[in-house]
Amino acid sequence: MKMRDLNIRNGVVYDPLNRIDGERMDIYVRGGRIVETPVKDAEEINASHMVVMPGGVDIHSHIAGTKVNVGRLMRPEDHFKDVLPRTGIRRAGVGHSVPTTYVTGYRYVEMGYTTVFEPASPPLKTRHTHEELDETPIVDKGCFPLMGNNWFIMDYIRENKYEECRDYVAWLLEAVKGYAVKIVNPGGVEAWAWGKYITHLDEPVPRFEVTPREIIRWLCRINLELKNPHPIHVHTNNMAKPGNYETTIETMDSVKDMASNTDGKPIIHVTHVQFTGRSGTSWVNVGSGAPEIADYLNKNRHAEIDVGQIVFGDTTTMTADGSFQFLLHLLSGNKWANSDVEVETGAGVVPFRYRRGNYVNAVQWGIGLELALLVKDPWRVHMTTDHPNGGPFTEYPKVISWLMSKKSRKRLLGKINSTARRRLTLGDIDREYSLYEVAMVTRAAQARSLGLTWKGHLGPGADADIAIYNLNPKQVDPSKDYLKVRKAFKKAAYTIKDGVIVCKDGEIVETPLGRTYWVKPPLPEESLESLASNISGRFKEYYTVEMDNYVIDEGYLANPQAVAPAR
Amino acid sequence: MLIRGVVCTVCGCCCDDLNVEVVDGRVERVENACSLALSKFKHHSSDRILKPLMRKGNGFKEAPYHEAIREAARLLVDSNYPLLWGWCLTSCEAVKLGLELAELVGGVIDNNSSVCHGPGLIGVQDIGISGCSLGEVKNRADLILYWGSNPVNAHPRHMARYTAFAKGRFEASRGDRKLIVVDVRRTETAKLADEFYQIEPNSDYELLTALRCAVNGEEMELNTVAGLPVERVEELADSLISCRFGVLFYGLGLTMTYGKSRNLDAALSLVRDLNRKTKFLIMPMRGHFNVTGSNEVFTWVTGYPFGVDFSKGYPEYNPGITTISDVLRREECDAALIVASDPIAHLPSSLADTLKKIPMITVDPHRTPTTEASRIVIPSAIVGLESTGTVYRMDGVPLECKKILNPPPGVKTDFEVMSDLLAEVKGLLR
Amino acid sequence: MEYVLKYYKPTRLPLDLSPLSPEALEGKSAGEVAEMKVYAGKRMIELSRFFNVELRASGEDQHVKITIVGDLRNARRIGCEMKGGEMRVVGNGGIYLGERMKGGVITVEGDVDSWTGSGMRGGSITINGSAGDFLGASYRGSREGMSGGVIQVNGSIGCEGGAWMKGGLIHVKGSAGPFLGVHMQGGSILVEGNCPGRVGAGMIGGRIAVLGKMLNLLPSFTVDSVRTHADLGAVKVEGGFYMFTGDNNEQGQGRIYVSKDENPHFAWCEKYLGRWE
Repeated sequence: MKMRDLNIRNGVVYDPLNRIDGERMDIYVRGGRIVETPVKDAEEINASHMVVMPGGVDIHSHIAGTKVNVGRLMRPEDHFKDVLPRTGIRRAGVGHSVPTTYVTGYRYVEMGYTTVFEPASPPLKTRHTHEELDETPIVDKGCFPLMGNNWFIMDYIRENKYEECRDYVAWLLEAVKGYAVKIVNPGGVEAWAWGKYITHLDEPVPRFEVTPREIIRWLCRINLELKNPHPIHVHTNNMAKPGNYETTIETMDSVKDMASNTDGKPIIHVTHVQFTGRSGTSWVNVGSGAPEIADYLNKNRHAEIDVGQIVFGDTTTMTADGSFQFLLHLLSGNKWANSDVEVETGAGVVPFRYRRGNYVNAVQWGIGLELALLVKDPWRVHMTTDHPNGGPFTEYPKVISWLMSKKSRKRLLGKINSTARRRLTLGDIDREYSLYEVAMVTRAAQARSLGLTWKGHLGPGADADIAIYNLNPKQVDPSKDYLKVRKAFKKAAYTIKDGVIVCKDGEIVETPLGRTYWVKPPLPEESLESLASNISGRFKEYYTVEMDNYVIDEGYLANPQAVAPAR
Repeated sequence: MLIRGVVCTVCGCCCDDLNVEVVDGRVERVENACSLALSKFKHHSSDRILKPLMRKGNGFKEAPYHEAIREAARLLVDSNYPLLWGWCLTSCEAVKLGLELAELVGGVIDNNSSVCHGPGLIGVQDIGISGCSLGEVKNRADLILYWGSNPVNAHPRHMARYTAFAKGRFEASRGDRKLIVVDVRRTETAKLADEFYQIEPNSDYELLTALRCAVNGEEMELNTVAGLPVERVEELADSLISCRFGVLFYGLGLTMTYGKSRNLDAALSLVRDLNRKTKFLIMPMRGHFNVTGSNEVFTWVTGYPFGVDFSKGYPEYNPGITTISDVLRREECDAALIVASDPIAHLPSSLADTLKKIPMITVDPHRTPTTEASRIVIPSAIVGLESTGTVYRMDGVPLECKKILNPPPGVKTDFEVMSDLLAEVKGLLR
Repeated sequence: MEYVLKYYKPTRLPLDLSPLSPEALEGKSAGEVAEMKVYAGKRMIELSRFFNVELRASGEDQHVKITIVGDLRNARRIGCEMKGGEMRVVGNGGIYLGERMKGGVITVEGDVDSWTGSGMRGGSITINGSAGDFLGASYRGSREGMSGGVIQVNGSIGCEGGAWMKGGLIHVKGSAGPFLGVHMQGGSILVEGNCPGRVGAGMIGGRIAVLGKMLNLLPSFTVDSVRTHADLGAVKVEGGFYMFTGDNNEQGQGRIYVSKDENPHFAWCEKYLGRWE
């Protein structure tokens, strides 16, 4: 039994959920949980002059499942440059933009992350997602089943059957052991199944006659009624349109009226907004729509976002938005994979290189940072790169340094396409994130948004998921010494998971298996049976598998943890 | 006892609607099974290996299980460049352990794709793939093209469950769909087609290229291609462009004929080009029930779908170098673990002869030419009948197999055998 | 100075000789080289187990040369990522010879296997015997084919020579297998012997000349003209040639020159000439 008792002494602690901002204090761990008083015979860690934060929480990262594996298959040339030999502790693998599952777990943990969510899993193939998550070591994890192009849901909307739709969503989350309601290009991926496109929220989906707006509103209402821990997680329509920020605002606005029913928590999460944050009418004149989106978010508290920041370099784009991926293939000429899934959704994968000299890429780089810097409330703007779409997650330290240091931004601004530089307002933004705010956008806010009340903070009762970084806030000015910031966040001095030291000085030392969280909305037994018999006829007609084989038993997962919604 | 929703473990269709009646530990009756499935369900108990065997002279002696495992582990650990082969007629759970074992013993681990649909995977690495799940075909396809594939014989329920004869939401019957076959001979499937294009053997690449020209509006300066008049080629291209939702299924007629992975390069490119005009997809007609699963597990653990060399401690991949035919041709391996496969029967005889010269450990339910040539044989349970396990259909849909019978007494599952072998190897390496 | 490595104990195991480059050996004594470890199968073994190592210094000569004597058909990566200096194999040269080479000279007296000069960037490789498949090709999935340097093969080569090539010159005195120049992007390929066909498949740029017989032409190529010489940029060959352009499916600007005398079966294309007039 590994040591799960620790006394972490004298660290400089940043714990926003408990309003601790750089206080020198001890953190005590007993039996894998944070406790209030020092623990007898515990292992001692001297964290003097080091930053102590909760373990990182990544709300949106494509790490497991069918489209990720298509990405791996397609990119042997990405793998051979970044190989990891086996050690006594670590399995072998390959890395860079589409790492293998073992390498994914190790590299997150090396950066002090302890929880990661795969944000787009087709229900029919979610068993595959779970197989991969079960081979992703150490981190706690979960996945979001895709629902925004689901035939049952669209049929219920058209037939105006709200209760059945609600029960179906609850059933689906439990059936595939998913964590949240994910919506990608609502209606648009169904159109793409015919090779067609949807371009605005009120355009009817071919042959279903429901609109994206209706899909979003219904699922938002259902999600609120089921009291699921995380809001609806939405990748908006129009990702391939040059100017698309208005769609982002319209999408957030489409559910605004439902906000009064809640406790002030956001009711919609719009994801990787950098990709849908552009202004302009063509690729020649795209600009940043970040100021407008930030303005909306600053005035409206019902919505939150994650950034999806791009990092210059070679990476692999992959989303459930098959139509966007095809268009990206046409634009770039790069190889292209497509993976439509019956009744439910689609996906696409295209390798891509973001270049500083490329006008559009440079604008994209600016948009992400402008969003992070112009939105005033760090609780509602999470830091991600939409790994690997904007860049590999191993680049998070770079993004953190850009948030904290105007100097680092200016330096890179000087190297990007000059027209883009002139179009962006980024150069005029002075704001620099503090360590407290970094702790918010890389862990506290994400944990809170996910409803993981026992994560993302260091208060008593929390899981002892802790990151200790070799960064002395008294000596290092992140604004000037941003390279030191990058170095510190790249290899944590300690990563602790459930009270066990799993990583020391950036080296993995233990590899426990983390938990897979899934949400179990309470559905009375009669509703479940009635639902099953209602859908079984259509299930057989539409799908090519038996309904009993579609459902994933909890016992199939290696380390499942059901989460009941708040009541 | 009638067990519903049994997943068939024969071909890549992985039909999961079989209802099996089991009486006194035997299969009495199977509903919804094709002839291949029926044969497996009825005859799985013939030629079974019942006890672990170790070579003695020209024959075998029965050996205690743990002795066989110990000896197998020692052989693999002591070898300088072992080969771990097979992995397609077993569960993903066993494949995962096989990969960990290969990492530990520093060998080349390869699966049946390298002699079957590997070229399609190589093509995907250069071009990508416009793919979908089989239900998309059932519900939407108004054009179905089988190229170098004969499902009537090799995937008997494919057309009824998923394609031409299936009933879908938007395309309800055979009459709504056009069935086209391209092949070198008039197969049973060709006889059912609305249009059959008989082509010269080994000319698929030329025909695919010509079709691309027609689809892309490029002029051709030829009268015939692949034995067809250019007008017939243009007619086929027209059918492909004017459908609403077309799907190209391909088999070994493309992967294992002159051109191999470049044939797939051309087919994948054709389908990609077609997507500028209409919706078009492509899918390989995988032969084994879990070769897709094997590729998936290999890929998420190593980054590569087959042919992985762990001799340097990290995965390396290059078909032609790290694949079974080539390591055997160069006589590089000095020990082999064969799991759920019969390479002695299926490889070219010169390679089979090479394989016979090195000590082989074979894990298999049945007596085969490979077990007969092995040094150590460990019996195993049949996945999908006598053991559970995850398998992947040809379109990447994962399914969990049921256990409906008990294996012969004392016979373990592949997963159990691999677990024990792994534990023994870890002990030796400590 | 010259290091001479005599392969006295051949092995069937794959032998990874990538650690042996002129840059890596420079300054080492023969004993130090003999102690260097290389992968033989899964184990790292001292070179001395397979090779006798001799160092023939020659005064002020700073140029480092490595001569390997023996049948190295199972070796991998001789001259991999070499930057300068010279390597010579008196015997067969194995797989991945000169992979991603940047400079220097490699000569092989015998044959080589596949992936010779894969992703080469500069320098020169001369093979006196024959080469296998994927000469100068890019790695799987990659478009980074050979971008510079010269590979000369006095014998024949296998299939897919020059796959995804971007620059440099491949000169084959013997024949080539099918799919010569597949997905070629630039550079020059000259084959003095025959090639069965599928030449230039998927080509978008670059120039190929076949002086012997080419059995077929892909439907995605169209005839451009009859030429008095083949202009490959790096090299010009005199003689009557049919010149084809393509691959039209890739909007290709590639050129294939085929000897008119050796390929009378292409005479049909003459009727398409002058069709724009």
